[in-house]
Amino acid sequence: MSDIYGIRVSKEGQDVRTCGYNDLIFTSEFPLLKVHKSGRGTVHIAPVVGTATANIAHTVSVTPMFLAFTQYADINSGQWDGDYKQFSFSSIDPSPEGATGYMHAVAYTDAGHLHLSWETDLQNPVDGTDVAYFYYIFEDPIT
Amino acid sequence: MTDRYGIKISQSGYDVLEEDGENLVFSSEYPTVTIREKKTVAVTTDAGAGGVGSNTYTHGFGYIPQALAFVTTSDLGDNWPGAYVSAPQTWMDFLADGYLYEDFSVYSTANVLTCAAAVYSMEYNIGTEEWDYTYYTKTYNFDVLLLMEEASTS
Repeated sequence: MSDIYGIRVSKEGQDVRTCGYNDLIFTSEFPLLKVHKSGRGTVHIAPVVGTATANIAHTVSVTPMFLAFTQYADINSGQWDGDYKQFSFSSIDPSPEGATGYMHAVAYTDAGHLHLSWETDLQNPVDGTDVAYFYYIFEDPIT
Repeated sequence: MTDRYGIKISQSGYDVLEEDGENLVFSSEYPTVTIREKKTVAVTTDAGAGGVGSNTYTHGFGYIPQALAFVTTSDLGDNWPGAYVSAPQTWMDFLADGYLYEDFSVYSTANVLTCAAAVYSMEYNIGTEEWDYTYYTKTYNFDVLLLMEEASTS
């Protein structure tokens, strides 16, 4: 420890000078994951077939890591659920007659944007539905 | 505050001694997402072995760390080739007569991180009225953030 400088905070009951990293709450020895941009929004998805996109610009110098979540539809019940699920996912019935009862939620990043897209063939509600989402785009590059 | 220890930084305009939650920029009272190590792990799938492949990295932490991982999808899909996506997940893209599936897995033991991938397509064959499966050889680079926080103590 003698050649280490900085700040450490241990978990309760642990000796901050000797405990392992898994018993630390914080150490300035390692970087924190920094959020470049975060936000939330809503898209409107029409019934059969409803699609929506959201393209969120970023200025991270590389293609960034991210986390994004969306409200989703339960394909089995055909109902929209108010809960959130992490992008990306596909609920699909790949029957030979063609896919029925599906929802695709896609998220990926490139050098300029976080791209979010939704597609579903749910029939209800007839006026479509507003689907909320939120996201975090991270600053830290892998290298 | 007398029985508490640690570090707090408040947002501008808020009293650090009074604030406990969202008006803090940082509090050591809560675990943070701390990056202990960054690593890129290359995984090559084998078309002759069902389109699966895996690779490991020995991090040697001595405990199971939490991790965040991202990977670039292949160029095989019609809609989103080369997309940078989170892992683990099963990524689905469209083909002319079917679907492309790319399955990305990331897991760790106390000392070894494993990244795995599987890639195959299923396209509907009108002549046979069955799905034709095709498996591929592809190389994926998993970008992994190994976090200081332990995933499990059990």
